[in-house]
Parts: sequence; C-alpha cells; structure tokens
Amino acid sequence: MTATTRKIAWEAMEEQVERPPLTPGQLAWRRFRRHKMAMVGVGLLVAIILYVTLGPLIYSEDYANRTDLSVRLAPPSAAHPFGTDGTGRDILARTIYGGQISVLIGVLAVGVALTVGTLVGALSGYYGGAIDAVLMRFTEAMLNIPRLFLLILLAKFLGGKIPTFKTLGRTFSGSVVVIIGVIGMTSWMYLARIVRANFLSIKEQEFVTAARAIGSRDRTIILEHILPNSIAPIVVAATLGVAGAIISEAYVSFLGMGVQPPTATWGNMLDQAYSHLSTEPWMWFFPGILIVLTVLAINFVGDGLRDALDPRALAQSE
Amino acid sequence: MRRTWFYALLSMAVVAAFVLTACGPAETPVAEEPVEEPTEAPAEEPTEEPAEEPTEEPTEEPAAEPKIVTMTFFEEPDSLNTMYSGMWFAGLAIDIFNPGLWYFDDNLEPSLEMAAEFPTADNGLISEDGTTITVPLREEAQWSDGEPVTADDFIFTYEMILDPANTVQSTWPYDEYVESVEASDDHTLVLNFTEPFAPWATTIFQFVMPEHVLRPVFEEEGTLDNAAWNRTPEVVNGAFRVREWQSASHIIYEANDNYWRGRPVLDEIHILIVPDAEAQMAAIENGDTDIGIFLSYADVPVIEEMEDVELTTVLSGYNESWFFNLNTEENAADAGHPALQDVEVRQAIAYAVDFDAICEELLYGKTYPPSTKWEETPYDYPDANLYKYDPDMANQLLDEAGWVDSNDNGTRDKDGVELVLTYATTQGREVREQTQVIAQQYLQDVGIGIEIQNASYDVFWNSYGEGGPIATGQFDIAQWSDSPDFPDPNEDQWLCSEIPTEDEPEGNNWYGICDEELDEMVRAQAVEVDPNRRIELFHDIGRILTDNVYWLGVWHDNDLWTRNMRTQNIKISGADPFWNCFEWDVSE
Amino acid sequence: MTRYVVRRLLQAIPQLFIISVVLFVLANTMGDPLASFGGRRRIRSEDRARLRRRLGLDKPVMVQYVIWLVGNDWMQVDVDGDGVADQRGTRRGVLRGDFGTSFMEGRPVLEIIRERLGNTLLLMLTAEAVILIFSLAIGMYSALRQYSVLDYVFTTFSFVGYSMPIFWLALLLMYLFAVNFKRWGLPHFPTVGMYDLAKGKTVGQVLWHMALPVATISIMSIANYSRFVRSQMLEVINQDYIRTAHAKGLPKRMVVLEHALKNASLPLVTLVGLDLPLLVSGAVVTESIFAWPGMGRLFWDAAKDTDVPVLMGILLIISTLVVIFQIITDVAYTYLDPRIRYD
Repeated sequence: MTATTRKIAWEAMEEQVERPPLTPGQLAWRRFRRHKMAMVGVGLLVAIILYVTLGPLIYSEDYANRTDLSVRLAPPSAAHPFGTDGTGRDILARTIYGGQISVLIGVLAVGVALTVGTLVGALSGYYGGAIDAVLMRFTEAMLNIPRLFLLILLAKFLGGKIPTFKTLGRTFSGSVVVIIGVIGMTSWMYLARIVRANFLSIKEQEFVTAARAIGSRDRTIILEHILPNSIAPIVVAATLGVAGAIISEAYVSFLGMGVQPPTATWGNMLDQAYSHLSTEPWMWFFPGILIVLTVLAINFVGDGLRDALDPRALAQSE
Repeated sequence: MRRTWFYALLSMAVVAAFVLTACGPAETPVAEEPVEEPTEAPAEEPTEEPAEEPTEEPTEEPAAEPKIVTMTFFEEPDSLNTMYSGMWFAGLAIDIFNPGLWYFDDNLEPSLEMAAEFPTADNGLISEDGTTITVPLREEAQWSDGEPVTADDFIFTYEMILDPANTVQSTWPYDEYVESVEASDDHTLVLNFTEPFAPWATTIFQFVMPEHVLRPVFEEEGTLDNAAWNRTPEVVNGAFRVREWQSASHIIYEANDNYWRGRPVLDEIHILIVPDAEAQMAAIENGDTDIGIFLSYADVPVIEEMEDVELTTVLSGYNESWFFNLNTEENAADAGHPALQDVEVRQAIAYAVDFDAICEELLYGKTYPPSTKWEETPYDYPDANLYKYDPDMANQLLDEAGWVDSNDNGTRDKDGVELVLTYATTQGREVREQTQVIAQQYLQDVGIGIEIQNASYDVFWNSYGEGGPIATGQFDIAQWSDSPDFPDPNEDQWLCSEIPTEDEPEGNNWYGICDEELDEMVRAQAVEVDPNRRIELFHDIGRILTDNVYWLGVWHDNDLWTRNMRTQNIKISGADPFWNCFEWDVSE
Repeated sequence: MTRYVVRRLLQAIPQLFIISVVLFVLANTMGDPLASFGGRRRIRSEDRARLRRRLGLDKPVMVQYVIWLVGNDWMQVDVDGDGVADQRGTRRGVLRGDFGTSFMEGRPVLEIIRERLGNTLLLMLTAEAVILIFSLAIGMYSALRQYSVLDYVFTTFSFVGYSMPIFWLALLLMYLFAVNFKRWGLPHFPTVGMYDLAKGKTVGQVLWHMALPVATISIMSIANYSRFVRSQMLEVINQDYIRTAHAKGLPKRMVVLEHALKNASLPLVTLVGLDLPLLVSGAVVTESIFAWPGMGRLFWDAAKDTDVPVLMGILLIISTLVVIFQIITDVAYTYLDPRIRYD
C-alpha cells in the first residue's frame, strides 16, 4: 500500500470507531422519522388522544349526559360547538366520552387478538407437528367464516348477557365488554398466522439452536429469544389492527349490535345520526370525521412502521 | 405469464358457472329470476339476457298508461296465508286480495265483504244468550276463477286452522271459544260459541281460503304448509290477484275482474321490499313510492317539507306505555322494587316526568300522552287522571311516602334501601332510547335513580318459561307499545290468573297485578253482549288502571303513513289498512 | 400434486364438521326464532309451545344438530303434541342435500338461497371487475409516476377511502347522486331496488340501479388494492430484469405491460381469488341500504330473526366454497410461480 492509501484507510477506520453503528431500533426510528406521512399520523394521534383524555377536565360526564329538550337538534353554535343531538345533549362532550370508549375498544380488542393470536401462533410455530396441525386447522376453520358474519353471530349471542358496571369513575354498558370480546375473537387469526410464519423461520436459526444446546427451557426460548425477534410484524399488524377494530365497532354499532345507548361511542353516534342524515348533518359529521382521522392516523403510523421495521431495510446499514 | 390471467379467469369462470348452473329458473311459474353469464374477457361487466316477464301482456287498451300505486314495506311478508303469518306487513299484503266477512273502515265501522249483513242483537242474527251468531253470506261473491264463495269455504278454513297437521301461527280464538261452525245453507254461516265471546267481530273469519283449490292439496300432501297458494295465491276473492312475488324484491298485484264489486279502479298495485328506513325516505321523496308505511317520528320534519306528500296519523289501538313491576316475593317472578308497592310512589313517578314535553319535542307534537289504553275509542274513560307534569307534587308525594335522601347522595332512600329503579325497553328504536334518557333526567331531578337495562327485541318478549327478562320480573319500569284486540277493546293481561307461575309459565300478567275489583271487571267485559254496558265496564277498568297507576301512558302510538298527492281515495284504516283498495285511484 | 390436493380435501372434511357444529350451536343459542313470529303482538304461549314442537326446537341442541345433518326420516316424531311419536319425520338432512325449511318463510332453504344468489353475484362480479381494472390502473400509474401530483391525490384518496365505514359512503353516494341530483334537476340515479317495476326488468334498468351499489363496494376496495398494486409495482420496477428489459431497448409500454404488470399482479390475483367465495356473502350493509335483494341481506335478515336453517345454509355453502377456493388458489399458484412446490 502507498502512504496515501494507508492514511485514507486509517482515517476511515477511525471514523468508524468514533461513530458506532446504530442499533436496529435506532435505525428503525430514523427511517420512521423520515416517513412524512407517519409523522403526520403520530401528530394526529397525539392530538386525538389528548382530546379524549384531557377533554373530561373541561366537560364533566354529567354534562355530557345532560338532556335538554329545548335545545335539541341545534346546529353548531358558541354554546355547543358541535351542535346538539336528538335529546339536546352536547355533541362535543359526547364525542370526548365516546372517543374514550371507541379508542378503548380498539386497543383492548387488539389486546385480546394479540394475546390469543400470539399464543396460538407461537405454540404452533415452535412445536410443530400435531400441535401445529390441530391449531392451524382450527385457525383456518375460523378464517373460513366471513368475518362480518361471525361478528354478527357473536354479537347477537353475547349481547345482553353482561350488565352495566362502573369502573374508573364512569358507567359502562356491558355491551362494551361484549364488543371488545367479539372484535378480538374475530381478529386473532391473522396474527396467529404471522406469528407462526415468523417462528417457523426464526426457530431454524443458529442462536436458537445454541440456546437449546445450553439447555434453556422452551418457555425461555420462546419468550426471550424468538418473540423479541418477531416483534416487527406483530407491532405493525397490531397497530393496523386498532384501526380495523375501530371501524369494526362502527360497523357493528351501525347494525345495532354494538355498544348500546346511552353509553356513547363514535360508532353508535353514527347510528343515532342515521335518521338525521340530511337534516342535521353535524350529528354524523363530527363523530364520522373523528373516526376517519383516527383511523387515517393509525394507518399512516402503521405504514411508516412497516417501512421502518422492514427487515430488508434493517439489514442494510446506514 | 399469460397463464397468470388465464388461470385466474378460469377459476372465476368455473366458480361462476358452477354456481349459476345451480341457480336455475325458479320453481314457481309465476315468480322469475335473472339468468346471466360472465364473459371471458378480463374487463367487461357480465351481460345478461333481458329476462322479460313471461306473462306480461297489456291488460287494457294499449294506448292508456296502466294505473299503478306503489308502496314500500320494511319487512317482507313471510306468507300470504293469514293462518301462517302473524306479521303485520303480511296482513297488509293480504288485505289487498283476501277479505273475510268484513273489514273495518277508517271510522272503524264494518265494511261488508263476504258477509251480506252484519250480525247484531237488533237484527236477530245474534241469539239472546249471545252464543250463536248467524252470518248471511253475499251471494254474488265469487273467486277469481268463477267459483262462488260459499259457507263451505269458511268451514274448510275453520277446519284447516285447527288441524294439527298445519303449522299455523295461532289457533286462537277458534280453539277456546268456537264450539262449531255450520252451514244452514250454501250462503248462511252459523257460528256456535262456548260462551258469549265479545271480540268475535274482529277475530273470527277475517280471511277465507278457497276450498275447491286447497282441499285437494291438503288431501294429497297431508298438510297445507307447503301449498303454492301460500306464496302465490292464484285464486282470490278480493279486488286484486297476485301476479308475481319475487322474494326480497317485490310483490305485484293485478286487477281482479271477478271481484264482487266489479273491477277495481287501479290496474296494478306494486309492493317494494325496502328494509332500510333512509332508503324508504329517499323513495318517498323521489316519488318512487306512493304510500310510505310505518314511519318514525324523526322523519316528520323531513316529510312536512316535501311538496307532494301528505302525512296522516292512523288510529291503530297502540299506545306506548309504562308498566310497573308489582310482583312480590310470593310470586314466581322477581319482585319489583319495594317502593313500587306504594301507590303514592307510582303517582309521584307519573307527576315527575313531563310526557307532554316529550310528545311536543321528540314527537313533533304529532301525538300526546293517552288517558287510557283505549284512547280515541268509545271505551276510553274520559275523566282519567292525566298526571300532568308537576315535580313539586312528585317531591311531596315521595316525602310523604317516606323516601328521603338521608345520605345526601342525590338519590332518595328508606330503611337503607336506595330508590334506584331498573328501566327496560327494547333496543334499536331511536325514539325509545331518547325517551329513556329524558325520563331518566326527569326522575333523577326528583331523586329517583334510574338504571337502563335494555334487551334486544327477540329476547325481550320471551315468556316466563323461556326466561324472558320482563316475564321473569327483571325490571321495575318497562316500556313498550301494545294494543288490545283492536278495534275490540278486549285484553286479559290484568287478570290474577294470568300471573305466570312455575306450573303455568304461560301467563301474560308480567306485572304481578292482582286487584279484585279489576279482575271482576275484566272478566265481565269478555262475555258482555250489550255494547253499552261493555263501554261502562271499560270506563271502570280505565279508572282503576289510572287511579292506581298500574299503567302509565307515554304517547298515543298512532301509525304514521304518507301518501303521495297523486293518489286519490286512499283511506287508511287502523284495523284493516287497505280495506278500500278497490276504490283507490291515481291522477296523472 | 394430486396427492396434495386429495390430502387437502380430506383435511377439509373434519374442518367443515367443526365449523358446522360451532356455528349451529351459536346460531341456535343466540336468539329465539319464535320471537319474530308474533308481528306487533306477543305470540300466545300455547301457540309458542306448539310451534316449538313443530319446528323441532324443543329438543336439545345436539339432537337438533344430528337431525339437521342426517335428517329424521329414519325415526318417529310427535307431530300433534300428545307425547306420542307416531309419524315419520320428513327431513333428509344436509348430507343428503336437504338443507331444511326456513323458519320464517316456510320454504326450502336452498330455494331461497338460489333466488338471491344470482342477484348478489351480479353485483359482486361487476364490482370485482371494476375493482381489478381501477386498482391496476391507479396502482400502475402511481408507481410509474411516483411522487407526482396525481400520485399524492390517489394515495390520499385511498387512505381516506380505506378509513371510512362503508355505510357512510353508501348513504353519501345515495344522497348526492340520487336525491340531491334530482333536486338540482340533473339526471339522477335511482335510490332503491333492482329495477323500476313500471319499466320491468331490463338490462338497462338493472345496470342503472346497479351503479351506486357497485360504486360503493368498489371504492372501498380500490382504495385498498391500488396501494397494494402500487407497492408491488414499485418493488418489481426496481428489479434487475426490468432494467435489463429497458437496456435491451424494448419499448416502455411493452416492458410495463408484459413484465412489470404481470409480475406485480400475481399477488393481487391471489388476493382476489381468495376473495371470490366471500363475494357470495355479498355486502350486507350495502345491500340493505340500496334494497338489493341479495345474499348479504338474506344473511342479515336471517340473523335478526334467528332463522337457523337459512343461516346454516348460507354459512355452510360459503365455508365450503372458501375451503375449495383456498385449494384452487394454492394449486393455481404453483402454476403461476414455478418456484413453489408442494408435495
């Protein structure tokens, strides 16, 4: 080597030492940040979450439920920025409390789906053989039933079986629990398949063989080795799942089988606005736009996550 | 990679062909079906052979436009044979082609159809003891195929209803009250009752089946359950006959020249099945339908803006009511809140809620709180206590009854029991949901807590034996709309004997009301033959129900109909809505 | 390959059994079929008991399942309620092709389904064709002209469209193009039904009435699929063999259509293929709103009324079709992508 080349090589090595390679997490975050739509989505989501969590500080639940026949079906005004509904309740306040429930349903339903789906997928992918066959046949059986049909059947079956309950300072209709369960029970199948596919490929890798060689228990291997490495598709699927769950809730409520009034959700506010479509458009516009914005935001974020966590991208260094 | 497209399309074509060959032409010759085939090219819409109605010939001079009235139904009738259907919409569809002895017109007077005379005590057609009723039949009445309508048709109908081989909706009242049905000659029908049965005029022979057509069917198949006549009655005795019934889509009627009054004015009547309320509103506005049926109060402002459409309210005998759970621990059903046993508490509840405001605001002033269940009929008690909104009176009564807010939590209590009531109704009707939250507000304002616990329609109505929530007493206040055997005032749900028990879970008295005086009156009216005395009995019944607040009127539940102004002579009756379809007309 | 197909088919049978049992129990316990019988009045209890017996609802659920499956013409039933089973049953059971009679309509289930199936297929196949064309067109355009103005417009449109509940869109379209257009004096679409009764069931009428429902169903899916096509196209376009084709001097259109498009549309075809059996289920809400007499509405009505035989009929047919279609798609895939093998 000539002196110049040696110098260049030395400087390059120095640079590398000074700037340590980024972890996959940091790489992912960088890519995510670059995704403009994802950042817009995050901003939007933060705004919506603030709306439903800080809103109660301004409007009490009593106020949201207060009926007043003299101002029923009033268009937006200073006193009622989003107008009032058929019994004179303030729509702005109702969207706040309704939003709490819609978002809650979305998140918890995905939680249910995640738990069941990951369990099924992990066991199936890791153990293979008979367990895999049985679980996968069961999953496929569930997938074979059109989702909306299953939703309707389960909602009807479980509807009305759970009474009203009070928690966290609010009164909830039992149908909230039912809907969370129903949406969760109809969405876990996709997650199970994704998790299983991941497990199948990862379990052949060397670090798993190594872990087994040193005598780690199955549970440790699953929880501490394989699962963390398959987080990426699970996170993306779960994020997009929340959007799907919110839309499912709107759908089921529109058919009349969702959360029952007087508990408000964005979905059943749309259902109540159904007969007022052209005469009182504010009744469906505001809950509707909130659903669209939330789902949109989640879709943007999910899109960004998918790009950011794409294993092929992570494999390349910065 | 052309194979990509090829296999994809092959799969689509295979499935389409497989499925479509399975759907051949429909079996009933009168109904029809689109038959189409997708093309192979990737980007075209499937073409279809125009499937023209095979029996479509112009029924009058080619030059004139046929006179047609169109209407929209929310639900499709399950059958066009009255004995197989309890659906209200089926009743409407059947009114058009299958009258019985008489209809009740828009003034609730009998409009004679197959009967030639209306039996009363004065014209001697009702016997002294009230157990024998003779009905002379109209001699000129015939079936659309030319056969005369005779007493045999009615006797056949009676036999078929009671025959266990037929899965009829209900055998009432024939099984309990009719001893026999005879023909003293071809055109005279004799009805023998086991005891005087006051509601006979509205419940017996409201339809009739053609014996000459259906007896052979019954003898061959052993049952009428699958008779083609139930779906497409080709032989009818009404103003129109059914030309076509396409499931989930429409029913088409055409004029019957052999109707005893002569050919009706209209040429055709079309019924469209439109399950969606918004879609019906759009159709009303667009003029795609001439008659709108069973609208909701929320639609009223929209309809009033439409230029060619007239809104009418029709008395149907229904009243939206509150019922209270007066069951005690001794009854099989769950006991109601102890506060409800006290009449003062019930009166306080009545005073606490402003039902007038609810009717004014939620129902656009189109109706009002009824005074009794027989509002707008001669059986209504005119001096009933209306419990006009008076929260001060409510508070006073509650205080007097001993219910005060001793622990300052906003709700009254007594002896450690909070005054919180469960309020139940059916899910899915907007105006009910709205009424609930408003009433909840009013009651909250006088210190009565309310928990809303609704159930879906089918669960709500389950009987005691099936664990229905209302029948088993899981409510304190329940709200629904019902009517007596309109236009007859008879109802039996107030009788002590109707309280369901473990041994006899069939009872209708879900409220646990057992009042001796009331019981006596209700029994008496059911066998009372003298109409004036009967009215007096109902005045007493109304008085007892309202003074004791066993029942509370929320709104007088008339039916809302719309009519396009281009139609004429449409007079909707609350009992038999389409009774005068033979004189309906349209102007163009 | 044949062994694979046979194996899958054999595996499908117990699957369908499990599905049918689960659904049957669910359908029977989710509500009371008799509740809808009474119309506006409550049904009398004596009549209820009689109807229960006639419809076979007084037996335990598993017995009802067996009867549904294999019929009851091999045993005696009690028709008139005297406690004595003295008549032969009349049902032959699903395994022999008898899907039973609808509780609500009293007609054979297969007859009812047959009537509605054609209408739904008409709607859904048209919609599917429209979806395919537009998704491919929009996706392709977006991929080729990435970051152009139209690309952003399309992307936004697809995100928004995908985030909307479908009934929303249906009502919006109906009010805009049917009701409001008429108010403004423009040529307008009809609101409900499959054709105007006065004009009869002609091709023109049906097409005219089909426009809004098809548009509703299509827009939602186009929003979804066009993004998918776009990302697939982008992936494919950056591949080496495309660059080679360009380098070889092939005209651009040929490159795009023959190579890029066909490779990119592979996964789309799979998705669409798997969607096909679901076409049969129809779009429940869209059909209700536009009063289109199809399978989706049939399912919804049957669910509302707990009409078990109809529900089971629909569910079974769809499940069977889905299973068959999965097999067809998997097999077709081996032809489409020679790298995939099963054995």
